[in-house]
Amino acid sequence: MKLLKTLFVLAPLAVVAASALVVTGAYDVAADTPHWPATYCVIEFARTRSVAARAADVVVPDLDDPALLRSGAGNYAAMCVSCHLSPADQEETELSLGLYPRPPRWDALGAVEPRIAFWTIKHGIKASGMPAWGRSMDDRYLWGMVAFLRQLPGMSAERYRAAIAASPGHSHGGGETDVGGGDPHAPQATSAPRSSFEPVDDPMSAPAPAQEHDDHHH
Amino acid sequence: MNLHTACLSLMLVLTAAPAWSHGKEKHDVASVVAGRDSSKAEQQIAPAAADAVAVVDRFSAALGAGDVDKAAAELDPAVLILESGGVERSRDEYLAGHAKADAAFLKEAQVSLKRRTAQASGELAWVGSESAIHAKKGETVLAIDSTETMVLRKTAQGWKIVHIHWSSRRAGGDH
Repeated sequence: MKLLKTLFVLAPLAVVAASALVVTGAYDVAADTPHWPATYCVIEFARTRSVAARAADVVVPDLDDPALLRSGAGNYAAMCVSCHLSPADQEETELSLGLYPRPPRWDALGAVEPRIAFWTIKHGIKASGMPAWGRSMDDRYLWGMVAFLRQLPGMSAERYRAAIAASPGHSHGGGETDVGGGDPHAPQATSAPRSSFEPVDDPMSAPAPAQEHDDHHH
Repeated sequence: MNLHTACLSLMLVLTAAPAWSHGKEKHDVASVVAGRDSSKAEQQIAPAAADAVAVVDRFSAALGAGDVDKAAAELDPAVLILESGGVERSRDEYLAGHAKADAAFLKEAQVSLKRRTAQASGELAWVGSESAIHAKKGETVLAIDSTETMVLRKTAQGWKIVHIHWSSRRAGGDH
């Protein structure tokens, strides 16, 4: 009973104190002022539990599918490098330095469980700078990125560059905009548009059936 | 084995290799010769659509020669152009959008018309074309199966293109 009485007194005081913290502007929202360790701990724990609960039923496709890997490579280079860097882009960027919490580096991304990675890429994380890419990409392209992330740990810069060169660049079925990434194909997108006669390079699309051509122009 | 049989066998041996390899040639960059060729095309052109087809050819030739203004002259100001999910809703929008990229691409491409069909009824004509396009892409050759539908309307200034739909995909098999 005494405990209850104490709680009845302390609880409103806590609410008043929290309100004062917010209303007076005393709470520092600056990204360059880290959370108190306890606050960070709680937020991180909440994030981990929240994503795990929501990603539990996600069905993982074959992440060794070459089409997924090709697609994921190009989109990673265009959309992720600015924050998460890459084997070939190891120097910190303004975004990787300025965001809080700091985005995990590329070599840590591959260790994330695929369901968690997929959910996080699709839905983003509130107030973290991690966008909800699912608003502009179908699930198959998101899985492409997850598939590519799994290849990142231990990937050499040369192998990374080769993967990007072999990819279709920033391509996920439409809605692509310049997100300031390191996409080597981006200069093409911003200078001259693809001609009307060039097919949209989508590794996810069904391949054209092989045809026998009985007339040749050689 | 008599001489006749021996000669026949020798001929078969000499022709076998090129015969089997025919149909599997890969285009290399050097073999792509820019230009348009319709000499081997299957064409079904209704007489009433002949003039409209001539407009389509003039448009394509002008674009392929990089003469965007000349190509634009064949377009109705309100032309609707659709391609791969994209849309340009007027001649001006096309000229400000894809026209330059199309001209630049076609100027370097080898375009072979495979099939064409054209019909006309009153003031409207439509022309459907299927082409094989080979274009250099760095050290490789991009092989494309390209389809095109054009709708034309007869105006006081002659046939004008009022609608284009381009749809392309990477060619299947070896080229």
